[in-house]
This record gives sequence, structure tokens and C-alpha cells, in this order.
Amino acid sequence: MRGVAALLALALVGATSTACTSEPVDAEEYVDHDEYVLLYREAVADFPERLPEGVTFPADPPPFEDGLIGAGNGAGMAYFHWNCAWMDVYLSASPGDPLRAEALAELRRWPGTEWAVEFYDDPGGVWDATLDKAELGDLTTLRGFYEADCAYYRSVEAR
Amino acid sequence: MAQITHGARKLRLGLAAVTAACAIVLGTAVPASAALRTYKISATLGCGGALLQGTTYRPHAQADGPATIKLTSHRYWRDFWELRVGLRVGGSQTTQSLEFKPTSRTTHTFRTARGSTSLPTARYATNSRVNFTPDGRCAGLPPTYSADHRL
Repeated sequence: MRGVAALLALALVGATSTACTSEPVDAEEYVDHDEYVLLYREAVADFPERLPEGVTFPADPPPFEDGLIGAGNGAGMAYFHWNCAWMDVYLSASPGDPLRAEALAELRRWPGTEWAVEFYDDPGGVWDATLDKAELGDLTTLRGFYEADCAYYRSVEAR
Repeated sequence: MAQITHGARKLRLGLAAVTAACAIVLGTAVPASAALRTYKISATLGCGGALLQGTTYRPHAQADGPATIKLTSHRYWRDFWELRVGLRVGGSQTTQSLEFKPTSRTTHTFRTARGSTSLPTARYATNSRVNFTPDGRCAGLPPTYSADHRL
């Protein structure tokens, strides 16, 4: 059944690619909730980055409400958790605390991570500019990202 | 200008992906101003009306101004179908859904659940689906759209 499904999907991908030859396209694969959770767990089991001391990955990623989700979101939620953990360290540490420098170094790595290279689109360098501002003492934008993007992290870490 | 990398992603095709057809979400980004950026996005939606939640995340700073979408092309849509699109943070859509005919070429502005056009600073991904009433069957190939997405 799965083999047939894969063949059908490949046929559909082919049809779609033909229809969109004038556009630069990247076929996105969509999965259901169970497979999204599986992909998250696979990513967590072999995660290439270092979490701050005392932080672990939750057993499950944040649930999504409906429909299908891009397959990259499975690993993406692990990368967001990692990123949020280091934002937390940065925002919690005092200026001059060596933890801040350590956290900043990790946060600067975000756009170059394996996942972000494929799925994060930031031509204007908003993330780098945010960190530059934070380094100069303006934490407004970084705190904004932390508050919006890290709701799940904050709930599982009770932050 | 961003380098959009299409890496060699492991092919993982579940049954669900098949039933909803395939989809495309991509970007070539063109900086529009010092603040907001315009991304040229394109998507292929499922015929069954399933919500497709994309993976590409783009940053938005609240101070930069309203986030918008303006369709530039569409193909394989039935007359009574409409596009429904919203922005998601992580697993949850945080904006109201915009709903309009794919023939529309006006600029549509995303709003928060409370109706504000000032979206919080966050990294957003796109949710989209065909919103139809009586008949979700495709007329041929799955419906597609391209748009300028300002974020």
C-alpha cells in the first residue's frame, strides 16, 4: 500500500512540476500528524546542536490543529526548541555574564543550521540584525521573537 | 538577496500526502524596502480542501508594518472555489484567515485574531487551502497560485 502511495505521489509531483515550469519551485512534502510526530522524534534522537544545560527536548512537538503539515516542520520544531532555549538563556542572563556570550554564539548559528538553510528564508538578515541590536542593549525584537515563537518552549519548560 | 537552497531532502511520502496531492511552497525573495521584504511564493493545493501548513519560515518584525499577500497568478481553479490563507507560528495559526477569489489581484492584509494589522514579531509560515462548498473535486490538475507575500 505504501509503495503504491509513493508511486502515486511521485506522479502527482511530476504533474505539478510540469505545470509550474516558469517558476522556481521546490516540491514540499506534506504529512499527517502521526508522521510529523515521528519526524520530530527522529530529529531529536539525532540532533546535531547543543542544548543549554538543564534543557531537554519534550517527548512530542507542539500539536497542530488540522489538515496536513510540511514534513520539514517535524525537525523544525526541534530546531525551534533549541533556538528558544538559547534565547531564554540570553534574555535571562545579566549583561557581562559569560552565558550571554555563549548564548549569542549559539543564536548566531541559527541561519546556518542544517534545517534553517533549507527552510528559513531571511534575505534581509532580520535575525542577524536582531542579534546585533541585542548586543548593543536593545532586546525588544529578540524578546518579541521569544514571546511569539517560543510559546511551546515556555509551556514545557515552565518559563 | 537570499540564497534559496533546495537541499536534498529525504523523500518521505505518506499516504496522507498522496490524498492531498503534492504542494509547492518556495521563495525567491526580493528586498522591497529597508523594512518589509517581498517574497515570491507559489503553492499547489490539495483538491480535497485539506489545510496545508507549509514549512518555510520567514521573520517579521512588528515595527516593519502590515504583512500582505497579493496573488499574481492562479491555475486549475473551479469558479466557485476560493483561496483561504493565513500565517502560522509553530503549530498554530495566529492570524485570521484571508479568503478571496483566486482571480483577485488586490493586496490583502493579514490581521491578528483581534483584527489588528500589526502582527507580533515572529517567524511565520503559510497555511493555505481551497475553500469550497459543494464540490471539492479537481477539474484536472490540483489548483495552484503564485503571490507576492510581503512580510
